[in-house]
Amino acid sequence: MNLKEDLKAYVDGELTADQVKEIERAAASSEEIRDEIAALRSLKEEFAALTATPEPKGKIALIRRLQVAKPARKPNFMWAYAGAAAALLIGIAIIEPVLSGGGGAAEMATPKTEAAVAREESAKAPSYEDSAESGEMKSKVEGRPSNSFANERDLDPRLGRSQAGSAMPEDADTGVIRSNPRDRVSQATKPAPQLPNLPTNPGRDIIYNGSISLEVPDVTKSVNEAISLVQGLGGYVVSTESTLDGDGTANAYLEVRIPAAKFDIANKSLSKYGKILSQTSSGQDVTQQIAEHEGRTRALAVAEQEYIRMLNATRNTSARLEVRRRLDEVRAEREGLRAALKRMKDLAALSTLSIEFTGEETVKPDEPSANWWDDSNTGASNALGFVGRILGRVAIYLVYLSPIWITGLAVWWFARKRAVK
Amino acid sequence: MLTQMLRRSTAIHLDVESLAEAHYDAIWRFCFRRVGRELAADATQETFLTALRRASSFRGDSDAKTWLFGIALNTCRSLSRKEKRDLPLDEIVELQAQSGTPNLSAMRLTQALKKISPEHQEVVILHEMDGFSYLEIAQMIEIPEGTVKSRLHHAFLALRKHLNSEEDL
Repeated sequence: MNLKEDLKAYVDGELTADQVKEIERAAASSEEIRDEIAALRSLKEEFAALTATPEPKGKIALIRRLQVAKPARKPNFMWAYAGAAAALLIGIAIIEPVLSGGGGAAEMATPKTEAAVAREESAKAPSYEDSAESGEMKSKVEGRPSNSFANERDLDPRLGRSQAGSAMPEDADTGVIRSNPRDRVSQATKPAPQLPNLPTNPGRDIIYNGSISLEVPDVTKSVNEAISLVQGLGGYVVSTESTLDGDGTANAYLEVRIPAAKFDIANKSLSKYGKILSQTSSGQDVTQQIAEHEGRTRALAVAEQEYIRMLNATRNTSARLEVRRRLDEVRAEREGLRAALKRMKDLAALSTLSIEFTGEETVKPDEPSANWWDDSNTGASNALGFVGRILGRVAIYLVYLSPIWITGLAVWWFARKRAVK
Repeated sequence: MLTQMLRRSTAIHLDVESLAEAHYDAIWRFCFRRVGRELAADATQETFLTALRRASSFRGDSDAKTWLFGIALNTCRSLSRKEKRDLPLDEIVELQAQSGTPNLSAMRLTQALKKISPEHQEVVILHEMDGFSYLEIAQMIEIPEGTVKSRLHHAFLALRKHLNSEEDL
């Protein structure tokens, strides 16, 4: 504490109580300090006497002017501008990848955990065909060797198909048009209309093919009932196949052969199992082909008899060999025709029906993942990455657009400064 | 930028019209001591118009009255520079004489005041004639309170020195 410097403050009453006491103690013991205080007080009193001022003027005029000049309180748009600019930048950062076809925003908007991806991949895996591994719903039953139907393609069973299936993917092996039953479940809010029975054509040989896709409450039960139905109608099951969707919905595919006369009965019975998602029926009239085959067979039989007669009548060795060769050719052709005829009649006698059963879509509550800790970590990490990418984009946009916003900011700042002045 | 936005967001609404009603006379006298009778009304008017423009940026760090006198001080400084005028100390002495309470030492005192530095003149007038405390002066001219105390001490030393030397003559 500088005592002399504080004397003026002491006279002005600007010191603390302790400082005042200290000054007073010093003054009590020092005449010099007492004189100094007196001199300062004297000078202060001289200033106090200089208080005379004229009567102020212009108050009323100023009040009126202030009333006129009083600016309307302007709302502060600064935060709104800043918010709009930030929203614009974030919006651009999110939308831009979508517009440029990157699809990044959609990917970022629904970050998937690795575990979730793995679950999806396993759900998409092809259905098992090994009964030992897959159990009841994952078995494949072979009713007849698959090469038994090789000539179905030769006969082109798709000719004359009545409806549907043209846009569906075609199975390269079987020639059967198939589609993902789940797709149809999602598209079909109403059951597909049931087809009328195919007209019966007594006396004609027709190969019938059909397919029916149904949504059923219990796929396993429906498969068993369908097998019983087919066997009861005198038919048999060619193959079965089942799959399990990612959402736990079971699907089953059956290919069955049914006596042609009972094709419509089978279709009608199956349609009662559940909601029809799709249904197709087609027929190929092979009456003419069978008649031609039969005629040709008969002609070959006559030729065979003729060659046998010639063989018996000829003694020349070389002539006998030539006749023998011709006889073998005729017999081979006749046997081939006979087998084709038999297959054609078989196909006409037994229709092919493809049946697809799809389990009803059930909304299951999300089961807690067994690996919830890893899922949470991965999810949090993905979310952090997502936020980081957004912030990064915003920062990049801010840098690139800096000439625009810095100019705008400078204009605003100068305008404001000028207004304040 | 952000600081400015935050400041604006914490601004206190001031009714300048009410301030004018309450402090017009004090501001006029304050301006009179710095720019003289002729310019006092203009300086006062400019003070309140400036206050009206800056009302939205008032943050309440100091008293509204101190803030207003700070504006008046700057207005008077600006006007003095523009009009190239010194402190109207002669006008004050003349007025004192006209008021019927003659102070024999008034002229001597104002003459001594003219001789000290403008910084010392400023704090002396603010404290001794306008009656502001050290804290108010510090806020008004934006210097530390200790500096105000020091300046006043040295200003009085200088004044006494000039007064004593005049007596010796």
